[in-house]
Amino acid sequence: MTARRRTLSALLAAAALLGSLACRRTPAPAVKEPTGEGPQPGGQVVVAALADITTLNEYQSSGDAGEAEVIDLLFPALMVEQPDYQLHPPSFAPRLATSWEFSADNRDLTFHLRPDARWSDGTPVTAEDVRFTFLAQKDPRVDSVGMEIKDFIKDVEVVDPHTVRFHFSRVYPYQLMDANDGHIVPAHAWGKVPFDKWRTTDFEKILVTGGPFRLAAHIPQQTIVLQRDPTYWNAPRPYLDRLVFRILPDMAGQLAQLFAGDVDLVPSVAPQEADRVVADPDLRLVEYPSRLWGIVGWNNRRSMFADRRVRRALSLGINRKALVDTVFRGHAKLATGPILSSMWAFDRSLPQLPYDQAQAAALLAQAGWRDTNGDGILDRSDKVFAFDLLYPAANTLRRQMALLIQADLARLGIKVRPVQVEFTSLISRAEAGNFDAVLWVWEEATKIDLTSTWSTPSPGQGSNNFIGYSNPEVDRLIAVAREEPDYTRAKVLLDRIQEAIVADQPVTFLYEANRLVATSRRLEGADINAAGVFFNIDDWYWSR
Amino acid sequence: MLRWAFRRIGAGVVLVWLVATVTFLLVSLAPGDAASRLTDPRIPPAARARFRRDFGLDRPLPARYASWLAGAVTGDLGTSWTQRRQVTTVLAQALPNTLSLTSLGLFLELVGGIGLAIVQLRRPHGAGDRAITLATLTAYAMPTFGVALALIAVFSYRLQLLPPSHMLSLDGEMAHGWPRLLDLARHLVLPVAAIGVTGVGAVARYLRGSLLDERTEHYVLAARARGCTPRQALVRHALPNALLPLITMTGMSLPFLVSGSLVIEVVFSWPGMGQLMYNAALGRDLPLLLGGTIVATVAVVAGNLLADAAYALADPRVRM
Repeated sequence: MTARRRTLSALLAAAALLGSLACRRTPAPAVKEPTGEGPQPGGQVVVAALADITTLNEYQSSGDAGEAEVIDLLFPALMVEQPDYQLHPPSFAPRLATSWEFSADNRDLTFHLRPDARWSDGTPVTAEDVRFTFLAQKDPRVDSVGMEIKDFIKDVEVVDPHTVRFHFSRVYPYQLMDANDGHIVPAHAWGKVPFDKWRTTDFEKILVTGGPFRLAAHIPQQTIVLQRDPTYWNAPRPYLDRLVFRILPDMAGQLAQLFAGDVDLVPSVAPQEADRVVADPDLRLVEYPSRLWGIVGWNNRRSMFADRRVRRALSLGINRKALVDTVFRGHAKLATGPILSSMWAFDRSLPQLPYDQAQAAALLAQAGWRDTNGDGILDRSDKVFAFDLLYPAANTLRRQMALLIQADLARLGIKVRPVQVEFTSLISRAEAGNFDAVLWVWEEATKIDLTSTWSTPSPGQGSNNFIGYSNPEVDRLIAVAREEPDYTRAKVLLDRIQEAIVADQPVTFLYEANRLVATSRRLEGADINAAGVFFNIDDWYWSR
Repeated sequence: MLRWAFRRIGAGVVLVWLVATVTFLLVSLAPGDAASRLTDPRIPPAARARFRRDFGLDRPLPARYASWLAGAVTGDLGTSWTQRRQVTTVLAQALPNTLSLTSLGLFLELVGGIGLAIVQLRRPHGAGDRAITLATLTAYAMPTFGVALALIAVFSYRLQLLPPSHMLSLDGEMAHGWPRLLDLARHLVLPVAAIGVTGVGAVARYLRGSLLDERTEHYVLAARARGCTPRQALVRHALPNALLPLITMTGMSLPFLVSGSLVIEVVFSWPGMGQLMYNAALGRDLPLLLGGTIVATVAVVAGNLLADAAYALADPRVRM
């Protein structure tokens, strides 16, 4: 396996080189004759995709990001989450629902559906579909991965064909978000399949869609062709006739085809390739803060990392600014704490830890780590300060980070052994707590709930807190904050949690990565942002 | 002959079972499982536990093995964990794609290799022979991905003659009949060439060596004495004997025919067995991995069987 991995990474490097040779472009796809000013209808956009989709039924999907994007283009959602989470919890814009209101006690949420929405077979989209979707989401036989999201929704009531009411068992800040989660699926078509047969059903064979596009063709591992739905309620939008996903498992190959003009959009460009995209006059690079952030996770259960002075010393001893700038070439920000700096809940008064090896050395000495035998490595009661730093194999960015961290900490007399581990094995070692330190990436949801990452894991409950962080005061504050329906009051609590976690340094906060999307410069109207690459796909068009 | 065949097939079945069992154990014992990869932030951690329960990953190893084996003997290889489709369906989709690529590659290898060796032997140690030796040695030593990327750089991007990836162009996917076939042929050229170029070198070098040996054998000299031209003696008399070891070589490459080349498939976005198995291994998709392993093992057994049978037919000295 490692030999194959090595071959692959060599291959990626070689392909990157190749891409730089390939700079001739073929003419862009034909666009229909312009009909006056403004957006021009017609044409197709070819999107590079790393992997094929496995199902079109969201409730059978394992949550792959690319798959979710295709599903979003084919099925209606009640509302669209807006990319405004820097200012406040995300707001929502109308989609299938034209308006909504809460009852006086906030326990009932009523949606008014647009009367002109149709499934691709002409059947109207109604409140029955919304209720059917809810039943599928909650059914243990369907067992969708997001089942728990609907925990506090007791029932969904059909008031009339175009009015539907959600009944909540409690009042909490994310009621709107949880009600909106998941796309509406066609009751009249999929309701014919009993829930216990869903797992073995090929939904492409009974495909009825209700989005701006229909599925025109799906050639496994090759191409997904989405064709504009002429009955879509937002007509004449979408302006594009087709959206074509070409499966290109090799990132270097994606870029080569982008430069050659065979692909119009690459949804994720590696930071080291960004300059090449910017230099091409036919291409546009869109950059925005992603919700991916990187840390060094210290195993808080191990005696070496149990003392927070030691963890703080490690954070002070790593030149994080230099590391982020070197590895991401300006396409990432230095991270501060447990909430992304692009989120409304981020505490802007949090101090950023400096790079200060002298202070780090002093803290280590306070914690009892000294070089007593003069071998250049710190020790404490006959134990040397040496540990394995795990990172995923074939990930060149994190390999670079591991080496930089090794060099920085060596100056403090700490011996770091970078160890690359195959990805699935790495996750399982993290889950089992079988590691010293690990270079890890988290993706933050727009729903701010610190429970699964920072609360002490309770036995039997699943948790993402694999580093074994446990602070009773933080546990208490998190439990209170998640119940607080008023976000300005929740913010006060969240600020205290952030201060406590930054003081504890259970992890070293490294970077907040930017997302880089490359498109053809002739593509107009595209508002590609943190809410999704295809956020306003209805308004995309080719310029003349 | 028939008893020999039955014995070999029986041994083959045992081998397939053994390999599948070892694969089952190795993958099950490897750290991590298919549920580990559900890391999306919206997915509650509890979903991982539910996934494990759904696919029986929480049951003890012997029980899981028993139910897999019970299914496998009746031809039910189960559902792929990563693709959520029948393993047999997934394999049936990928196998023809790989076969079209690898069989043509192997054909090119053999025909090209034999042709080159004959040309070389017209004047052994001459300038032509030396040039071809150098070329085949270079081709043999080059990594497949290097050849593949060089081919793409030249023929797709510089000359814009051939497509750099996929089995069909977007228009080809919508077409039927001849235009579709023609489109497929255009897409086959570069990956087949990439497989062939490195293979040709091996075959040519091997055959040149054995032809050189055969040329000095008594029966070849006798043929020359009977008035055959050097060319006739080479092609009609020496070649059939020199080709015998090639039968074994070809039989041994049958597993490659069905399991494909990961590198070629990734570079050319070719939806074949190599990519399928690679992703299955990364995703710890045990049912799919076992299905692929069975296909590959059957190919090994069948390849050896066919090579031996072909050898027996070609060489009267060999008896079953």
